[in-house]
Amino acid sequence: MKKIDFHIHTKQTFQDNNGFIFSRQTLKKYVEDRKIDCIAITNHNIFDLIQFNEIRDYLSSICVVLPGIEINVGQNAGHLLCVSSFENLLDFEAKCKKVSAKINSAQDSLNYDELVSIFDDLSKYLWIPHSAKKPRVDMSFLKKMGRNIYCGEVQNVKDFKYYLKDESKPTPLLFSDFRPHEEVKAFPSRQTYIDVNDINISSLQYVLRDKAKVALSKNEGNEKFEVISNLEISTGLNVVLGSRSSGKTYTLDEIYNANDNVKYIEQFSLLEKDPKKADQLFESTLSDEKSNFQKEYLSEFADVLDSIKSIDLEQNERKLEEYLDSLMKCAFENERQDVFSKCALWSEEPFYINNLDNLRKLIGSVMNLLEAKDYRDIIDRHLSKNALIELLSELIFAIRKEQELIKKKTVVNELIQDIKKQLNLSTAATNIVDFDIAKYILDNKKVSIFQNIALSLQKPKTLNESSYNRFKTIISSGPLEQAKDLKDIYKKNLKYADAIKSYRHPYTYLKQLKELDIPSADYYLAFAKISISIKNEYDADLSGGERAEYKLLHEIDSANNYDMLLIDEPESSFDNLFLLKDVNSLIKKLADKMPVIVVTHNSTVGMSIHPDYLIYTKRVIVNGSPIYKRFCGAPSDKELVDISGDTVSTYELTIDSLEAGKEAYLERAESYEKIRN
Amino acid sequence: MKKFEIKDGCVYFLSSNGDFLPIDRLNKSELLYLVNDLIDSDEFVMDEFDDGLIKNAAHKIIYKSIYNKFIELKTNKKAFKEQYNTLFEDALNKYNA
Repeated sequence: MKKIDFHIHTKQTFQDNNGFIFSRQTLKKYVEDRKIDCIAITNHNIFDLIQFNEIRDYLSSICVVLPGIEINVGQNAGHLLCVSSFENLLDFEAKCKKVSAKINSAQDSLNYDELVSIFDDLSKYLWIPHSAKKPRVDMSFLKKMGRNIYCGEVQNVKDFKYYLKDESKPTPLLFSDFRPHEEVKAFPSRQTYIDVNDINISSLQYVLRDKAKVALSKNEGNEKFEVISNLEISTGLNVVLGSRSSGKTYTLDEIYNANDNVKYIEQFSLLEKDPKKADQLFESTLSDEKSNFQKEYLSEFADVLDSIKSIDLEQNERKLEEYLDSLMKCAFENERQDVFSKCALWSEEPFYINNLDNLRKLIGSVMNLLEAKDYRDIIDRHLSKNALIELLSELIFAIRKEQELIKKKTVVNELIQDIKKQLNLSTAATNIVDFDIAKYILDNKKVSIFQNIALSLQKPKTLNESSYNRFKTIISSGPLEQAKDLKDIYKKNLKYADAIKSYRHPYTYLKQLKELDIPSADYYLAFAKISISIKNEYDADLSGGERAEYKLLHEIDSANNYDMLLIDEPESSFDNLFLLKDVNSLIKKLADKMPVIVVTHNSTVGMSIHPDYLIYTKRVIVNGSPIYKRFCGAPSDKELVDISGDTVSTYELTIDSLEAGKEAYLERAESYEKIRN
Repeated sequence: MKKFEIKDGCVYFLSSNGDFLPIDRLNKSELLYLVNDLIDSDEFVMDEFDDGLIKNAAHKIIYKSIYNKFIELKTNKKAFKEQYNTLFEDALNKYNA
């Protein structure tokens, strides 16, 4: 098997966010350390022949160096690697210069025709698009490339294995995308093994069409991969065993630094002795869950609040009074009518202006139906395109007519306002105040609906019950009862006492809230008390240990979004290790998707998880200095081996690490018997 | 057709039923009718506002506002119409192509 890395950058381009200064010494160390057989130099949209030849000479005795380039292509300026043979370097250089001429920014890209016009015969090169990696090359571009695309670059072990299983996916390749500069601390572990004898473009093209010929490890196929130099571990579940100061943490840190997107669950202890503090700690874990739910549940109410918070019923009443007064006055002062107040326009009300939102939405919906790509066949089956177009045309003409009327009425309204003002300056008669009766009625209606909703929010009810393993999360709502409830919501120290008194009269309550120093966008939180509680399978509150388990379960679950999971000494959080059953099954499920590494100094924990692979760390003193050894193997192996060939018997190590005590040992005696044999 | 006429110191408008009425009888629906006419027909004629010729104070106030507004509209007729005639033009063109 040959190990390859075809995605290496040696030049800084405008696509690199942080500048870097290439160091060929670092590149050499990388190739040596990771024992790579062949690399390709693939810079963004440029190829530097002089630098390439220098690098090739420098690494000539160590590995094969192929020329390449990473090109922006297609609609999303997706990245496409192109690797060429080292025979026709001048020709390749000339072609790459044409690419550089066309691409001057991160958004520029070549379309398929441009690519073909530059490279001519695409089959002479190896093409590797970003596949499960951003920015992806779009599907239509890939389709045009046709038979020239049979492999794709992925970002992690998880996707690599997934691509192998899925027939519709191309052959996966995992590369480093490495930028070797002077200050590099850890070398990336992303390379791929290929079953090929001679490394040249045609043999690579042949081999890469076959998924069976790529692997994450030299001898063990895709069940193992090299997580850091000189350490291959399982792509499933690994347990790192070892006593204290044996180098476990050091190994974990090395793994964390060498890989991207790793979830690291460190040791934590929720076994807080002070019950009040324990409550607080647990509450804060739950508060995120609660506030997310709260926001969603109350969002419609928040909208209602938004639309009524500017309504002032008292002011509306006053305006109504003013209007009626002026009307009466005007009626009684008939003799005061003069040439100005007798003008028709003087007592005119402005035109009511329609709202066209609904019509706009309707037109939008018809356009959606016309433009929809999803479910196109279902739509076409029931609505003919012509009918839709006719509908759209008619609606558009309707809205134009409406808008025309609105514009003309607006002109008239403006004139009325202007003329009235001027006539008023000259007349002796009392002006009738403008009063929007429609708004008055509408406001009253809105407030009464708001009150109904607010009152129903005050009734206690269960909002949501969800199960998570053996835990049940219950979210419920109920009325606020005291000023303290408001303080819990807003956290600030304000005078809540007055407000809470009017809690049962929502409109008055809202007015009181407006007096307080709270942002108006947060008013909606004050109308109901939302609480969250977690119970176990016996409907009881959680004990300290159960809380720790709950927290750990959530942490592990969130690892779904990562590429690798490291868990450091989970037993430190638990009184009773046999509570770990749920934790174990969750870890095993995750290990199906991504590499999981559990570190423990308690072999009971380690073995009860049934790992795929064991790594045993041991500190030995050789000639006065400490050496950290790592022995690896399957749990079923009799012996674990380290890189220098030294061995340790599996039985011995489990006894050595034993810290759980004799009783636990006796309970596990059966499993240990099996190991010993 | 003449829509606004100054005669004997007063201003008269042509109402929707064909009569010439004094401008103090102009209400909002008649005004809307006149706006329609101004925008949609090419023959809208009105007497120029003349401070000296109009004696009725109320008429003077009313006609001054209307005259100025209508002149403005007349000059910007095209832009005014575009405010509604071009709504959703892209969509119409796209689907009727």
